[in-house]
Amino acid sequence: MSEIRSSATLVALRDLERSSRRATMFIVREAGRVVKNEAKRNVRVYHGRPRFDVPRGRLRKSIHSDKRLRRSGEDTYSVRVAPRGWPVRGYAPKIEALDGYMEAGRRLALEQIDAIAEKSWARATRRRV
Amino acid sequence: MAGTLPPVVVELTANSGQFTAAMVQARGEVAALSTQGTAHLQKFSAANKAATEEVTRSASRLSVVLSLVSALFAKDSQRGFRSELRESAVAATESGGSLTALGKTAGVLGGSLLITAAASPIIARAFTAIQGPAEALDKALFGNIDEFNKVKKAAEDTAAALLKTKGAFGAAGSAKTFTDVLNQTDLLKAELTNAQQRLQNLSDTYGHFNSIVSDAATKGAAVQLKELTKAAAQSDEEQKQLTYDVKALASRLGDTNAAANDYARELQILQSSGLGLNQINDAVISSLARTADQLTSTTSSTYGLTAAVQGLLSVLGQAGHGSITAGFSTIVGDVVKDAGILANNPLLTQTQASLQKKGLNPDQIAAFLAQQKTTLSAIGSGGVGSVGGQAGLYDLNNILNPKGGGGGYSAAQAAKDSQNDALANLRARIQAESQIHPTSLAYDKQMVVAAQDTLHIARAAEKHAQSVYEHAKGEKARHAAHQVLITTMGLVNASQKDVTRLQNEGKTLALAAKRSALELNNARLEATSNMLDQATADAVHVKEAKDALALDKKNTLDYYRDLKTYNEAVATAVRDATSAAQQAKSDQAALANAKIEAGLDFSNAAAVAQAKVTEAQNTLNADQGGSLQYYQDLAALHQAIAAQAAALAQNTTATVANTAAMGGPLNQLPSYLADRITANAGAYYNRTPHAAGGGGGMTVTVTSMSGQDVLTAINAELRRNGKPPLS
Repeated sequence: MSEIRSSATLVALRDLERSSRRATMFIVREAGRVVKNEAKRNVRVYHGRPRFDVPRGRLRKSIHSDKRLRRSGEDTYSVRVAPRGWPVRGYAPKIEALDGYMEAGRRLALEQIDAIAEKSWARATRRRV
Repeated sequence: MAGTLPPVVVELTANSGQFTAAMVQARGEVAALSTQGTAHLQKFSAANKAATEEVTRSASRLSVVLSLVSALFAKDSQRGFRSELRESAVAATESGGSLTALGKTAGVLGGSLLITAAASPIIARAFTAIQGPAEALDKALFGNIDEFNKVKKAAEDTAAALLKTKGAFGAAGSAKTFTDVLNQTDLLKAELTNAQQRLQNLSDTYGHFNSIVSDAATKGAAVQLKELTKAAAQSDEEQKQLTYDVKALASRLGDTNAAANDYARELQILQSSGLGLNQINDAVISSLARTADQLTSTTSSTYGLTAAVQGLLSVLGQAGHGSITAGFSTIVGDVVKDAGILANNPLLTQTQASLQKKGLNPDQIAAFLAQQKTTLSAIGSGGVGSVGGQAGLYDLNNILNPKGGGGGYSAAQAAKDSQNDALANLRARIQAESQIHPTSLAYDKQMVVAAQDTLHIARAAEKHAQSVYEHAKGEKARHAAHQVLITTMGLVNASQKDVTRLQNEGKTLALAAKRSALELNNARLEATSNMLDQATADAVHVKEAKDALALDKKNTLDYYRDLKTYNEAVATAVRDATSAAQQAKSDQAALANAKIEAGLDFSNAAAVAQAKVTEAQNTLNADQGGSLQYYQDLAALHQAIAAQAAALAQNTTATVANTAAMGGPLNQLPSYLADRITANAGAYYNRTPHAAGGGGGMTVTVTSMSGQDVLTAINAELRRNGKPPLS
């Protein structure tokens, strides 16, 4: 008897849809890591006379990305990367104006976004046993 | 100042909504194709297997490409991919390639995806990225590949048989070629179409006439009667014209009938030439199905198709190809039933679309379809203008010229009745042919029934073999038990012989021990007797010293001298009595050692035998009653009991002999010596067990079982387990 067997196809399509959500999360998270690492690498560290009120490397240590992804809507995920903490709020934008460390991280992430996306897709669609 | 500072917060956002929407749409299309396409596919495959293969392959290809599209647009949410895709789409559009179904999907997604050389690298990369799901898709979508191959092979076989048939026609030198027959058939079909249309008009007129008559009967309007008369006259004219046309058609059918008879003769020639009936069957079935399809699509007349089918059945029946008729009747029945479905089947459109996907232009497709139609119609047309077709027209003539000659209403009813009769006749003939020549399905059912019967027979044989095996197993157990009985009886007899031999040996040993004990006791008792004599003399001395002391006056010199003598005599008597008692105890221990050294202590052997009996009893309790191991262990228990009986008998004999040998001399001691020893030695003396027991020794019950006893015990066990006893 002739028939069109579509159950396996539907399962595969549904699995692919789930994998797309996972891949989206992987991409965002990995891009956030790239931004964070590049920003830390480019931010300047104070090497002047030691001061008790300004610990050395505080701005670099304060750069973090969100631990949890933000989800808006059904299929939209986002993450924020920025210097965290009130002590650095005052001078982080000023140093950004001088060095552009966050801009460097953003630029690198955009350059590598294709590779990140492909790698994340491969990871998300890897056959799970 | 703060407004000029740059932001330090980088927010990364990704969206996969477009991909999700694409997947939902793809799932919907696949599900719809599966649910709707399967039902149509099953009906369609009976009429055209090649079309089935193409449609299914198109569905599979569509699903695969849909997946690729979905996977491609999954990257649409990534930066840079959309522009690349659009560029590829533009390039593809310029190259002229087009996929209708995919274009629609791609348009929904905001781009026009075209699989061209420019887009292929993108597809390759996307395919690599979704390699896992793609493999699953491949497996799922091409799960019907075996079935496709079968259908394809059947189609190829059909085509080959078709060519052979055509070749045979050519070699047979038929007076009328297929083309001629086909042309005549086309003309006949056109005439039939016109006749059918006129019949329909006539039926409508009669229906109108009937309604008017009803109104007239109800309302009694004389004016309407005039209209009725006019309508009846008009119907008569049309009826005369139709009669004339039918006669003309009948005369033309005579020529076609001759061609059909030639066709029947050629079929007989083919059959006699050794061409496989199955091949002819497949070829004719396929071609007739296509012809029926063609007839349906061109005339859309169920009655005309029925008449044609009836004619074909008649030709095939005269040609002696009953199996062909039966197979054809099955297919044609489905075709007639599903004619409307086939005429509007959307899968035909998809088939054409799939041919377009292959790269064929419309002209090539039209030429291909025309070639197929011509080839198939050439074969199928052989039956259309035949005796059956003439019979169909004969029925039509009866409808148009009712014998009753009544009014328009009765003629229309007669036409319907005649049509129903023709259909009933066709069904009856198809059913009769199907019964006489069972289809492959019926044959398969017979084979299934035969296989089930075989299975029942096999299960009955297995059950019988199981019962025989159980019976044989019981016989084997009985035989083994009988052998065990024989062995047991032999062992019992041997044990009894051993008991007798050991008893004799025990008696011999007892006599030897008696002599040894007597000799030992003689020597020992002589020394002991001397010591007792000394003790007796000491006692006399004590008595004399006591008497002398009693005669002395106290606190005198003699008194103290006699007191000293008395004390010395008492000390001497006590010392000698102690020595005599120790000597007596030493004699007892020496006698016990001599008994052991003589091998006369069989209590240990009896304990070992008792342990063996206990162990055999425990082993027997662990066995399943009635089993072979049970009877073996039962025999071992009886053997252990016999061994225990022998050991106990030996022990009893030895004990009696020992008692007789040892108790005698001890009992022969003078009682006054014993009293003296008791009086003088006090706590230093203990009576021997033999003396305390009154010379009793062990008291045992000798147990012995004969072979008959063992047989009785085994039979009791067999009866307890519901088994027949042993003879």
